Amino acid sequence: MSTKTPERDTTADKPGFRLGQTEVVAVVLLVILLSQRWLLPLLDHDLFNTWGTIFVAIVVQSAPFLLGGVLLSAVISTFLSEKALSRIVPKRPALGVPVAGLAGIGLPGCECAAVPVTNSLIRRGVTPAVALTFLLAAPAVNPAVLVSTAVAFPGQPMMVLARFLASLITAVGVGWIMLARGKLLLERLTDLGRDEHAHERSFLGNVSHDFLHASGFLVLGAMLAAAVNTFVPRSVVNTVAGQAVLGIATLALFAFIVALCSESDAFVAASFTAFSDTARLVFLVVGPAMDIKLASMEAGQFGMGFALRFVPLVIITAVASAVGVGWWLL
Amino acid sequence: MTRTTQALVVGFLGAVLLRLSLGDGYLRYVTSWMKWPLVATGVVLLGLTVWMLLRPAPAEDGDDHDDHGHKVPAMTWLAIVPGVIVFVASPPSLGAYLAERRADDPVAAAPDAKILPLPASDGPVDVEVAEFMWRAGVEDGSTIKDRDVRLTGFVSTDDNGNWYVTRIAIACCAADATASRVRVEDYDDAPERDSWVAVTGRWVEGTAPGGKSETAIEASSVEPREAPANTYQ
Repeated sequence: MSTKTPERDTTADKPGFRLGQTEVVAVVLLVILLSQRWLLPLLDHDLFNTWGTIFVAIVVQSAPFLLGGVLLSAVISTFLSEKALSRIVPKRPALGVPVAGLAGIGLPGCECAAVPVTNSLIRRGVTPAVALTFLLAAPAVNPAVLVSTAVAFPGQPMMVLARFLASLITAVGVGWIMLARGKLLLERLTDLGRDEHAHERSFLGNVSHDFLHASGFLVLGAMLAAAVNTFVPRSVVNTVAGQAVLGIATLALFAFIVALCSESDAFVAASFTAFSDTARLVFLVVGPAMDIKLASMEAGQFGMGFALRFVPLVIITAVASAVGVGWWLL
Repeated sequence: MTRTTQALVVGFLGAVLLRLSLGDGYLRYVTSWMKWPLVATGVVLLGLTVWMLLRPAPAEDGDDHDDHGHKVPAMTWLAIVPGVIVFVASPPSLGAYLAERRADDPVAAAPDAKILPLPASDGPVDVEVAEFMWRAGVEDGSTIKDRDVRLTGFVSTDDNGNWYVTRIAIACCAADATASRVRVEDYDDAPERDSWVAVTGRWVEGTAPGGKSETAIEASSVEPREAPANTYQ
């Protein structure tokens, strides 16, 4: 830890660098990580390597999807006029919500792509509730996710249908809840009003701006998810498999903290053989709608105050929807 | 973060992705179909870096704000961490350590489709470790009973001095890794942990995943192997 202080001082002395609390945290983290090589003999080498592999894997896997989402959002911010958008999105938000949910079928990317796209939609005047419905639906109901679910659950086509319906109901349900009583929630969308320059910037200006704004939060989410993946053995989760309510709550929490890609979470869900099908459905519905990586990115894009209310709302709606659909179909 | 620093952060990430995807490095973290998306991402990010470095500075309003360019969140500093870790620590493929930690995890069920018999052959038949475990669990292992098979994988161990031929499968990236392993019996000289071997032998009757005794193979020979470029299934 003795290396921490000098490093912080030299950084603070650099001209033009404004020292804030978060900068200090970032530098301290970096120093710890850099000194890891010399600390390795003192630490559990395998443990750090495993964390590193999973952390880098999540970032590498997400980077192309994040860039794709940023490019699409720059197209929306730069080229799509508000007039053109208002022609695509129905005028009545109550109708726009289900349309946005179904539009999610068309974006076969992971959740990291959807966050910047949603941000740019709100910037261009789309009702926030409608844009956020798209954010929840896009990673969950696209064909790539449904196909991988079918592969992971051979001979259980109802699982695919249940996942599709429960995810769609979650997205549309959250959208409608925000329309009906979302004043409190949407007032918290502080960060969005701030970026009034999006329209003035060039296409590449928007790409670099959005990429820089999203990448750090993606990395933070990946660090946390990799830590959970490395340090929490999955067999711990299995000890509560027998209990219906506790099993559902545990898999919902696990889906939030391990933050798997929506294309691959079905394979992990399939391995929870001791759990009920409904509990496994909860895992599949909560994961793409909300996880630690998404929460981190949403806090970065939409503001902390918003995320603190939005995250629990989504999780509760997703669990309720999955339990309902599971009870009906599975 | 100054405008130049912003460009360097983007460029560093692009360079790391390009370096990983042009060699075999990316196979330690993701599946092989990610190669071209990663190359494209690296190229676009480097192109974006050049544009960010060459773009004219914003018009001076005599405002201090413009010296820093457009403000980015401090969290953006974290974007250099993955690259630093790749260059400094170069985390390897997941191996024995993860497989041993996940040894007690439940395994996925056998595919529902009817399991075909192994192809007829004079010598041993190559079988994937995970497939061998499925076959052991279905129809009392009748499709592998009394057949010479060869399993290829890396070596992992347990606290009781047993060793296993092991494979890790990933569906998307290393975060969703699952391990399968088969205990090797009648072969006391355990090869080095994490080294690659081909184990030839026969299924030990009655052993199966989730059964009284974990799936095992009675080895007639164990040969060292080179680790493949893609260690995952």
